[in-house]
Amino acid sequence: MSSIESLNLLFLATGFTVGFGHCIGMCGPIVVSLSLNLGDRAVMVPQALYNLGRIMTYALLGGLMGLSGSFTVVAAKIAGCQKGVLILAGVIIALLGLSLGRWIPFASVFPEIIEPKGMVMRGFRKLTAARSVSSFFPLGLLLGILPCGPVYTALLASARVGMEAGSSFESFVTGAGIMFSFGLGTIPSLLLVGKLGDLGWLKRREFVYRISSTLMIGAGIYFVIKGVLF
Amino acid sequence: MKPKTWEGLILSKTTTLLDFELKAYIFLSFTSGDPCKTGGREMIADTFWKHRKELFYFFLLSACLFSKEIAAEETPSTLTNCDIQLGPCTKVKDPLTVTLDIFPKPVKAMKELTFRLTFDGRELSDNPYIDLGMPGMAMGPNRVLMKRVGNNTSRVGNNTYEGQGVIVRCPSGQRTWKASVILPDAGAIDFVFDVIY
Repeated sequence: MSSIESLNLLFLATGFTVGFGHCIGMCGPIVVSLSLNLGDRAVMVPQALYNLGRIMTYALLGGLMGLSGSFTVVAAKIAGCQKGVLILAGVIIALLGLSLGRWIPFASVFPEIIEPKGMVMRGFRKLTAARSVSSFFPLGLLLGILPCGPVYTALLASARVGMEAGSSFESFVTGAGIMFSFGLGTIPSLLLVGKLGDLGWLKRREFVYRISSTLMIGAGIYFVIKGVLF
Repeated sequence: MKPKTWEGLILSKTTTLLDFELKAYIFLSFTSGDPCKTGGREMIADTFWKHRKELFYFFLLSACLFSKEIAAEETPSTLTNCDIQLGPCTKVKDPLTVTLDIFPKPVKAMKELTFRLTFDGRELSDNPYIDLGMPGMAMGPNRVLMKRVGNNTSRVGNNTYEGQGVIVRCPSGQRTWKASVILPDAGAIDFVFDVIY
């Protein structure tokens, strides 16, 4: 087995282990919110699409890290973007919580008769109204950029192997491969958490929805605070 | 531990609340049927018991939403045994005396850092390395490989090694990091210190 294959396996295992601790804390609120927001519909396909989008972003970031060979240069460039996504994720979670608790219907945020202007507002509406399966993939792509310690560690490894690769193409592929392996490893934990928001007997209880929505609003506000302080 | 910031205080209160509710739930689970004798308590206990499934879900969901923060609370900065911002830290692992320094100062996360290890006592059989992580929180493998940069020939066994690495930033806000110095033939020594984000 080559050293790159070993590293891929190492980060696959790392993703699996940190997934059940760290990733549940960071992405747990998002996947639970998305599952609850799906109502009575099955969650596995949308959640799988969300995760696919997330690891595609990981792979792209890993490729860029490998290509540049410098973790700090790329990390500095994406830091501002990460801050914005962290705040955006918080707003999405809080809005989904408010919607779930029926404190505000989504219609009052973005009335159907009013078409939001601008790409950002249209995109935001599509993302927050994440009831269609197709919206989960772009949501994963966007939220894959969320800052996270273990993700940084895997990106660091991508930059290191990229530095040692023979060509630019090889640097990109090896860097992307490590991040893809890492992301793949984190999927089981997040699918499991996503499934938690899909327990049939729970979804039929109004009381549970109220509790869940309160927690989601709290988590959303917490994400926004984290984003502002980041 | 007294939280340093208002944010830490809120998290601490949340953790305490969840902890209390969990204990209450476990208590009620084990005393099903007649949890308490007095009227007021009985009413509260009945309510808890009536909504036990919902409460269980509440705990699970709370754990998912705030697990990282709860885990982070287990790593107070009082665990630090080294003030790397002020200068090098020294530890003894008989017969070796190990000194760790990180620069440039101040030691910040997400920056290229130079790690320097100085050993006193005897020669090492192989190059040491440093595993970086956070106490109580898995951060993935982050290893700094060290290379010998010189030795002091006037004193037997005085060796200096250096390596480049990056301490990544944890969005949880926890700043306490651990550098485990791995000595191939003598085990590990942990230096726990705070970094600047």
